[in-house]
Amino acid sequence: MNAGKVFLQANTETISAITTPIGIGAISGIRISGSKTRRIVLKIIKKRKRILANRIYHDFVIDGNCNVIDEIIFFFRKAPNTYTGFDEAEIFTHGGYAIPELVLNLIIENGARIAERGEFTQRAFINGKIDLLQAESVMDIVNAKTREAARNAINILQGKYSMEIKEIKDQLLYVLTIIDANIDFPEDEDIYFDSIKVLNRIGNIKEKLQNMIKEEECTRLMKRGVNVVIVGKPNTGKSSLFNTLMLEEKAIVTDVPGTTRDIIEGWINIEGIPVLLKDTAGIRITNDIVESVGIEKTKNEIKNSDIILALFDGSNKLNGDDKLLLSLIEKKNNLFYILTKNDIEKKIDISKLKRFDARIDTRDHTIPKHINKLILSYIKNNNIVINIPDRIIVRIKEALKSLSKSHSILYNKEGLELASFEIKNAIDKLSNITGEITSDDILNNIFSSFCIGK
Amino acid sequence: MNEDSLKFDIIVVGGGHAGIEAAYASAKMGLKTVLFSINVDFIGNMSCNPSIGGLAKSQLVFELDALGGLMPKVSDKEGIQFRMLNRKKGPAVWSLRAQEDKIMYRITIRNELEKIDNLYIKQANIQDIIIEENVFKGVVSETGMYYEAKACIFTTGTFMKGLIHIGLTHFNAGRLGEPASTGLSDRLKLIGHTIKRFKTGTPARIDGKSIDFDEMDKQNGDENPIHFSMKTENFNPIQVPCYITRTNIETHKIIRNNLDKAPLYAGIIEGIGPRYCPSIEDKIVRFKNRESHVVFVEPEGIHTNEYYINGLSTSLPVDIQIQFYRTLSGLKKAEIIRPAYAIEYDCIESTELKNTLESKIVKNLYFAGQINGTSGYEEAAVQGLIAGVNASVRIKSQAPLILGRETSYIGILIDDLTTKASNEPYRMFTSRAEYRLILRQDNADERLLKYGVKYGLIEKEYLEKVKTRVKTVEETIKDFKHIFVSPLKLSKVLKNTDFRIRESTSLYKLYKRPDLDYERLFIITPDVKQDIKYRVYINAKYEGYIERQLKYIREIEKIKNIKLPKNICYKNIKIISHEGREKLEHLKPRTIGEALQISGVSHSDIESLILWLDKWLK
Repeated sequence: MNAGKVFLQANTETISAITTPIGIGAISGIRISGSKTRRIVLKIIKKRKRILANRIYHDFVIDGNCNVIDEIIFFFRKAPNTYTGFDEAEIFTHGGYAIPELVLNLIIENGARIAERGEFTQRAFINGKIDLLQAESVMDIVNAKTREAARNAINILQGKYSMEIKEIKDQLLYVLTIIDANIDFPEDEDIYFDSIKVLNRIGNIKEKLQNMIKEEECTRLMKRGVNVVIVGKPNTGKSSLFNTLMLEEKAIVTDVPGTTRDIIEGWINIEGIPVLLKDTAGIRITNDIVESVGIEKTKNEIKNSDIILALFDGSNKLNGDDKLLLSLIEKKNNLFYILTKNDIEKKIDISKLKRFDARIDTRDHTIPKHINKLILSYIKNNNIVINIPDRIIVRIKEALKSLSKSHSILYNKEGLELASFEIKNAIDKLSNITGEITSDDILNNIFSSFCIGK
Repeated sequence: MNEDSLKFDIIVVGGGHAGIEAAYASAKMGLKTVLFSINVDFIGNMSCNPSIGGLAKSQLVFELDALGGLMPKVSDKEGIQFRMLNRKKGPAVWSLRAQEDKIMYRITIRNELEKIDNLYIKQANIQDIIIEENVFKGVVSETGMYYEAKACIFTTGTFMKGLIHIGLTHFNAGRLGEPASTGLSDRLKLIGHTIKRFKTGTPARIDGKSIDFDEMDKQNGDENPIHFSMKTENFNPIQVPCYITRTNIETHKIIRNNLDKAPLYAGIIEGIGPRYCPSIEDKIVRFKNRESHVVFVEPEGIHTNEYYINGLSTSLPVDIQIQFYRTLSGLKKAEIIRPAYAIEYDCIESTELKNTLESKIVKNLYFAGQINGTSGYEEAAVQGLIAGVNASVRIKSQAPLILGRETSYIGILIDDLTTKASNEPYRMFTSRAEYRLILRQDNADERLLKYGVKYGLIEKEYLEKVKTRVKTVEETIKDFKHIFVSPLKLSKVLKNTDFRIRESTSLYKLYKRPDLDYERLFIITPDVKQDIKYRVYINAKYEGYIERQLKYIREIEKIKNIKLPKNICYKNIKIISHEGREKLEHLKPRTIGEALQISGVSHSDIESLILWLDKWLK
């Protein structure tokens, strides 16, 4: 609601924001977009009285009292050939927390306002610099958790998906042309209907859409991350497994605030897929209220995680705590049984468990690869359920559904008009992603492809 | 001549298929109407092919019938061959085509018009329009007579600055043998209408004595023919055959060698012709690899020996015409009665009309038919009726008749005409319809009869009949869902077929089966009328689809009701076309529905706007 409202009044407003991550670093970037850009830049720099577009300048930022705040590099670009479509400046200051903030404050004092999250991209979209699909991808780049996810998002930004969908739409339009020509010109012999060829074409397009869905699901996994939870009774080696995996990945481990029985989580990167790894409180039979809260949390994690790593101490017999855990994970399929302390004398009765997926020795340096492989193979084999509906994937799936129907209609000879209906429907769905096709497009295609008319 | 005979409620200029329906509708609505024709003998003449209906056009004729038009009734009466096209596909795209007896058609039309009391037929060449302060006042004929009226409908067809081309010679004519109307289009231009130049063509007519019919394939009418009009009773037409022959390499060679004599290729014709109805020289140039094109030989009537050579329209010189016509088998000794020709004519830019077909520039001035850039008798006729009704309701101060794209092909036709500029003659196709499965010829009465009754164009009893029928169909569907057919019974009914069922299945479900000829099931319910069973079948076949289309229509309605905030700054929504932005900024529509009505705002503009709203206002 807000973004829209602000935007409605803000079309000519000049906006600014720090565009690089806040924190220690050599350089920070600040972007200004809007009609006042040039004026504002001139007000805050020391040397130049005049700036031209597309040149890189060196200068100093000064405050109202002519105190130098920072030494900067900047360039100015003129509308409409900029990212947002408005006049735009990029200023590079020294990094850190203080200086970029000070410079941004100066820019604001001189007539700009802080940009809303994603507002530069909104402007780019509204000004027709990028299409909706691309705008969404920019947001994904900003939010992507690993490099591969970013690369995927960049692919979309560069129109890879738009192009692919456009191509598929063109192919569908061709199929529709053949079918509609048959309906509208039943006596024109130039139009004959080779149903096998048409079925093959539809089959090919279906396959392409299926591949896109697969790809997209993989991409989505990267955007969202896969949740992996480690469970087990106390002292089964949960934390050491967690730490080993984390250490290898040099990820930051954060404490989830709460009770003493917290869940600890951290991101790791398995072949480009972001994985959110969670270490839980040990499960044991208890009357302690605090502990039972922790166990409830663990139960919750078991319910909501994509993958469960259940740990069992191989050097001890299964006890009541283990059985409690087994009852919690009884009906789960997204589960790996892992035997820990494998190198110590084995006392566990393996026959009590369903199976073993991995064994871990106390000083095993191959753990990460070993477990990573397990997690990765599971992700790949199970197409982890996507529960967030997404505009694009929903459309593609709907298109695929219609296309499959058209295939069976043609195959069962239920009528060309019904096949046409489904294919048009598929095109409509895809058109919502990149743009529409009208009945004129179909007719134009008919007239250019066939010799029509008596 | 007293004052009274110069003063009318409504003037119709032109006695073609548009003018006929316009005059017929307005006179039936009780208004004193005059129909002017350059030659009253040719009112209702079919200038080109001798048939009514065909793909999508048939749907128009059925719709016209539900609105009380004249064409369907007369086509049934004077038809000499009836064929349902597209039988192999589903009933939504079936289309009836009737070969007509051209002479009888125009005689019957004339008779029907003469029967109406307040309809006056006059022979006059209208040369001028009188307009005061952008309101229509009257017309002036070439004899200098001034006719006054409250409203006027122009249906001049190809007559405005008609220019016939045969070879490199050309001459003014409205159609072969009739004078062109020379003054009108300049006058319309002066008023402010944009004048476009279109082209069309017609093949030669051959003397039947010179045709060897044994050399050609025969094409007969249907065994159990269907008719257009609900008013038609005791339908038992004669079925005269058509014939099929083909062009060959020799034909193409002659044409190719004489292209320099074709005015289109010699650069003489400036008008734009329809791509769906090309001349034979056009087909040969554009589709070089094809060695043969199909040609239909159709009778022009039973009182004449003339044959229409469908597929060989040309503007080559007459001697070349004879040469290449004679290369076709069956036509080796062909004698031409009337030569083929191309005709260029003036028409107006139809986007300068409101969706009532009234001029946006001159109040009470309406346009219908080929003058609006359409092609085809059926397209002309439906426009004529709509213009006639709307001119009449204007005088009676009633609400106009505006049909939506979801209600009818007529709605699609008028919406297309008035919202998108076309650069070739406009013809109806079923692929223009977004809701093809709903807009069928069999349910045209269910869709439109209520309007016909509302405007007094058709008797109310027909509406009652349709209501009863709809109810019967609903009840029969219920019954058929409860009539179960056992595998044994079915195998008895369907002798000699591989079709099998494993368990007792309801009759309704069997009607749905695409691999089963539903007509063979008719024997199971001998008491139910054939027509009802046929409608049950359509219902079974399209059940889920029709619901989906209706749902879609409702969604569109919802979108139309989306409110547009007053403070939207359209200027800055760059994803909308430049023209769209300006129009939206200027008119500030309150809803998406209103925005859709604005000319210059395209559908893709609206989509972009919705996308924009969706993205930034939520």
